[in-house]
Amino acid sequence: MMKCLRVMLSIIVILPLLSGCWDRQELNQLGIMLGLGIDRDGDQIRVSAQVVVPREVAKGQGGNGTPVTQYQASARTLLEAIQKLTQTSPRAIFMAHIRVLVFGEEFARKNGIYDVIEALIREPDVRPDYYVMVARKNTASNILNVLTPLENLPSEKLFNALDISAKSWAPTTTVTSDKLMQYILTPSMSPVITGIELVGDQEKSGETKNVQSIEPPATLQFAGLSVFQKDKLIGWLNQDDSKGYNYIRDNVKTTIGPTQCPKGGYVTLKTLRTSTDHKVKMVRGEPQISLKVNTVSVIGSVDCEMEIGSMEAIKQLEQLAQDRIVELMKGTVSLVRSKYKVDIFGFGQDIYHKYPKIYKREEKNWDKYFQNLDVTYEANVQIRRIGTLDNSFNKKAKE
Amino acid sequence: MATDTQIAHETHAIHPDLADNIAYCKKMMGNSNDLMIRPLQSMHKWPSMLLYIDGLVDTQVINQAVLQPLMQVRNLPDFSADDEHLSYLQNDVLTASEVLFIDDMDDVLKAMLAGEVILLLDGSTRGLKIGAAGWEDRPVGEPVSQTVVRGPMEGFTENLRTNTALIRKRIRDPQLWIEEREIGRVTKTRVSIVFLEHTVNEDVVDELRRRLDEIDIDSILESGYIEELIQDKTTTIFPTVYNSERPDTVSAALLEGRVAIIIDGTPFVLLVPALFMHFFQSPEDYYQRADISSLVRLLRYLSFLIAMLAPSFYIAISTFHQEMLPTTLLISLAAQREGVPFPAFIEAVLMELTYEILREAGIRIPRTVGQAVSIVGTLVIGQAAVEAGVVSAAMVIIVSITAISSYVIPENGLSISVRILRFILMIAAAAFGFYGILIALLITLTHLCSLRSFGISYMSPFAPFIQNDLKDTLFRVPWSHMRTRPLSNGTSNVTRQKNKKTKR
Repeated sequence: MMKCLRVMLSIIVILPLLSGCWDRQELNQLGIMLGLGIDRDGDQIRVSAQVVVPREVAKGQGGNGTPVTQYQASARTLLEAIQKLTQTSPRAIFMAHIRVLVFGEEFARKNGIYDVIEALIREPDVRPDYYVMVARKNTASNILNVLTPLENLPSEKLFNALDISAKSWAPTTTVTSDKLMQYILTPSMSPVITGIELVGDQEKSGETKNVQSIEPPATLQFAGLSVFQKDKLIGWLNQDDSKGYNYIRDNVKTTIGPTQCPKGGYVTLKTLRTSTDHKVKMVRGEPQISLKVNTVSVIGSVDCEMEIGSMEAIKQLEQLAQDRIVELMKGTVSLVRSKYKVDIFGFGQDIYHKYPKIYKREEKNWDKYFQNLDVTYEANVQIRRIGTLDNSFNKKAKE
Repeated sequence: MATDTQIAHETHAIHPDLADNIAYCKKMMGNSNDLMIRPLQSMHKWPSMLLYIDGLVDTQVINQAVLQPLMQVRNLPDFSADDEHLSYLQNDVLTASEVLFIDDMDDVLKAMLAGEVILLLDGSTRGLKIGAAGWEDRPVGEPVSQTVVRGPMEGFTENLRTNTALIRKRIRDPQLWIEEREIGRVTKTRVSIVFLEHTVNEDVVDELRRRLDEIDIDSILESGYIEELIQDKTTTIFPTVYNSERPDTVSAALLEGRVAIIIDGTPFVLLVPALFMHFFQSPEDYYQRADISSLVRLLRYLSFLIAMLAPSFYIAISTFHQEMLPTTLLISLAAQREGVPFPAFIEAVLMELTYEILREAGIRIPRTVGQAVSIVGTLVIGQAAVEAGVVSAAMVIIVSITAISSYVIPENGLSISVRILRFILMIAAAAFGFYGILIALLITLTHLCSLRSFGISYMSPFAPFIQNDLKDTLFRVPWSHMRTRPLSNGTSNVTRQKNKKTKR
């Protein structure tokens, strides 16, 4: 027994020394990448990596440099480019904490985004929970080159901003990379990604001067949704159309929108909860999609001369709001049909779920079939509360 | 038994001549100054000798219960045989409470060393030993190691008799049996086994008797000696014998069917069998209400895990699994480690070693300089090391949390095991990350499940799973639901209270 014990002990003591603890990475050997930008560089991919400088972020230390720094490299494929970043970066790039992935518009239009998405999903170290965005009229590296007040790390700011915005402002929506891959691969479905643009003076956006005044010279702003066909960008939706799209896709959580009063002026309605149902019915042998939006709202402000104190007035407002939502959705569908001709709403999937045989029949020419698909719209708005004032006093306050 | 080893030794009988006996005592004890010899004429007629050891006897007892009655004048009846003198003295004269016959000189020496007074009559081959023990003892005070907020503040002392009295005070059942024996060839320490006959597991008592009889050592100075000599022979860092300084803990254990071992000369009483869950039970759990006791117990288990795993988790996550941290925490940690020269493992080992040094020093620091040194310790380790960039602030936090958590475990024995295990886990984490921690924990768990304490599985009632016993492990159910004694102890008498439904 003792001999066996001695042998085992020697093995146990020697073994860790032999192995050398592979995969060890000390924290100060990591270059933590928070944001990744993909652009087109001739026929190569140019990768911009936004890497954290921990010393600058720590409390009490630093303050002289920027909290993040950007490394760029160009190569034929994504992973080659990321490895090539070590040409300039002093540390190995650590990809596990990516927050945003930004595509330059040119890259999205010409090269298509699928290869990059797939490479990142295949990588075991990378989580798929980061948001994907498209840089509008700009390159991704410029977008990642903006210092922001309030939030130290620009990628963090982009992530949080998109998150909050999607929950409270109808024209924006989020998409994570695993969902995006699903959308690209689903037949008869096209993905839609939020766009982001740089507003203001691009020259010095990456310097600390950018955050040293109350109104920063350069800011980042979300700018409508981009429409893709398979994996290439084909166009943009404006604010109203984006709203319609989000309503159809049931992406809206809360929002605020004005409804026009019958005599002019606006009543602002705050939407508390909304949900959209897609139903498929067979009408004369052809499937028909019926969309129904259920919304619960409260009145935010009354900027017109309407008396809102009575039930009829409320009912009238509800009707107006319903019409407005239906109008938005109709507008979006017709715009997409006429201009982009791809099914971004998932109608194909709805039909597939209910009537798979019909779907299989039309599958090959879905986009054409989509043009003539029958869609009915219905909205149901309930105004529950009117705030803590009854009728508006604006008649007395204005001349 | 200790007396078995004296086989080669010839027993020296009591000589009728007093001088002979005294010479023998002086020879054996080598003219020790505390051997007192008091010659007297018992009953004014018989030349006799009183032998005792100064310091071990109560001189009041000698004066009043031995000398005074022996010096009285009375009419003596006629004696025919030799022994009748001593019987007469024993039955009619001496007013001491314990008077017994004694037959040979070795017993005389032994009795003297136990604090008894020996009366030898000239011409007799037997003597009398009179109990008069009265040495200086620490009075019953607060237990030093296991304190509670609510509950009795009595602790055991170094005197065996006082300790048994403290237990008897609490369990007034005639079936509380105390068996005494002497262990240790030179120290001849008195060791008592205490158990409740109608509740105890007989197998455990038999096994215990067997193991105690097998002990062949020259000295027993503390219960730790006995603990090491009777514990199960598996090599393990976990304690399989419980020790306690509180009479209420010991009484509660006796009532559950366990056996207590009291050793003369130490206030720490041993309890067998000892299971893993016993080390998380504190007497206070039963004096406070059930809800807070349950929460505090869960806290103890959690602290056990924290004390064992916190440094290893830190090493594993910051060296191998950085993707598990939230991004802001990762950046903050990375910022702290920017200027630090050592890898996380070396840092952790340094800090833990420093803490162990501080802890050992703290036990021995004289109270007068204790304050100053503790300030030095806090400042040097906490502030200066971090500011000098030798260790990172997160490491200091981890070490402090670990240190504090390890004191939440009520019994000392298990916290020792945790200290050792912590270092093993740190090495495993530094070499293999979470995988290493997992392997080390699996090995520990398997080892724990295979341990036995006097025949009872160490991890019951977790494994084997005894559902009835769980009512007192992770939490403590209120007393109205505590109807059965724990089956893990192997007790035969399982019902604690009857199933009565009273309306209140």
